[in-house]
Amino acid sequence: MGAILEQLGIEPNLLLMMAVGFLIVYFILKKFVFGRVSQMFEERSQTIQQQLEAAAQQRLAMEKMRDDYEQRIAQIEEEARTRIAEAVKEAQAARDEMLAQAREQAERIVARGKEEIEREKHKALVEIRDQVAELAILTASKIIERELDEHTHRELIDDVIEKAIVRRGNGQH
Amino acid sequence: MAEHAAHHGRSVFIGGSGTWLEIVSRPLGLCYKDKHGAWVHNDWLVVAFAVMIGIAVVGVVGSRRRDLVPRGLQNGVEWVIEIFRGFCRRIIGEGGERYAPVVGTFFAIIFCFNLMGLVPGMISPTANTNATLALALCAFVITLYIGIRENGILGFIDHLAGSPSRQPWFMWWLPILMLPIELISLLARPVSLCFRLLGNIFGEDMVIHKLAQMAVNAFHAIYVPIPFQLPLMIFGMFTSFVQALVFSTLVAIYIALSLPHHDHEHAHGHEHALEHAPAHS
Repeated sequence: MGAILEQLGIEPNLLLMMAVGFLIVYFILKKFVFGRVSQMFEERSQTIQQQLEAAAQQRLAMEKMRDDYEQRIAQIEEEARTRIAEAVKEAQAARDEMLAQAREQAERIVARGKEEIEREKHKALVEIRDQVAELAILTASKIIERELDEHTHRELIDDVIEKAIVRRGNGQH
Repeated sequence: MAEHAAHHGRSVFIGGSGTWLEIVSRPLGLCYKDKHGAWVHNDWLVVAFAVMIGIAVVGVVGSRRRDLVPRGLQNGVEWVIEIFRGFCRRIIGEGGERYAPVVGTFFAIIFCFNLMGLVPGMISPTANTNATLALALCAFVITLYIGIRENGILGFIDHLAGSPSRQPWFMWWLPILMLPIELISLLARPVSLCFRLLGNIFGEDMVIHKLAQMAVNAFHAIYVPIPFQLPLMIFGMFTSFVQALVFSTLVAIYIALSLPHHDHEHAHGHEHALEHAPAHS
């Protein structure tokens, strides 16, 4: 046995030193490296788990808040739409009223214009008739050279003019 | 070195040449003349302690910060630890991350030990029987302790005997068959762990050593530096990783097998696959 150990180069002292050295390193690594890091893994895992849960809760809260905001925005939009519709309706009513007033005013102006025209026309006719009468008197007095009294003269002229107007009116129509 | 060793009747596993760490190992009494009058250099122990102290320092410094968003060394240490936790959970089952310190320590130490052989002027501690046997015995004791702690001493013996307490009465002969087989299997574990790692790393380092010597001889002959050892050094990084993985996976499987109510079929499948892995690598 001793010869075999010698042939293999085994020396109990060196063997023991190596084994003790290994066991010391093993205990150091177990206690200060693996133990510490494993514990840190656990802590880190718990921390990450807690943070993930907190993030999930925050996300839920945010989603709820977003839903509330969307709901409120929808309400505001609905209100705005209603108000715009009301405003449009009011504006249309105002426009219709203004149009009606404008139309009425225009009709009034047109009617007044027509009356004015009629009046002017009548006035012009009277003037024409007077001038024609004077002209006719003058003409007739020169032709028949006889004096007629003013009243007879006037009646005669009016009669002529009436006939002339009637004839003219018949000619136009 | 082998012929030299055979000539002197010495172990081939005893370092015949020193490293630049001899300035540390010599004052510590790790370099001495054996009974054949040849120098024995145990620089590997200095390398081993330097590596183990380095791992412990990096681990402790890297795990001191507790930022929620890890950066730099903290990120690296946490990443590695998370990998070990997942690795143990997959092999051992639910709650297996409790054993991540054991498996992770074995992996980190063996991987760094293996890589040391690829650093010029250094030596792999795992190319020495004492280192691999010490690691294998530690693995054996730790798995045995876990088995006894989880099952109780009687439960552990019952476990080794094929759980006769859970078998029908006519299976009384089962413990007679199972107990010796399981005991041999149990005792073979540290031996297989030790020599698998030793053989792979020692062989790899020897080949690199010989190829480096060949490169030196070639340089003397043709004055052209040809690094013959370089491809094998690159391959050595891979085998360093694989051997550390095999060792730590087997430790995880041994832990899984020693736990009560575990899916042994699953763990046995892993074990058989890994027993054959070194032959491929």
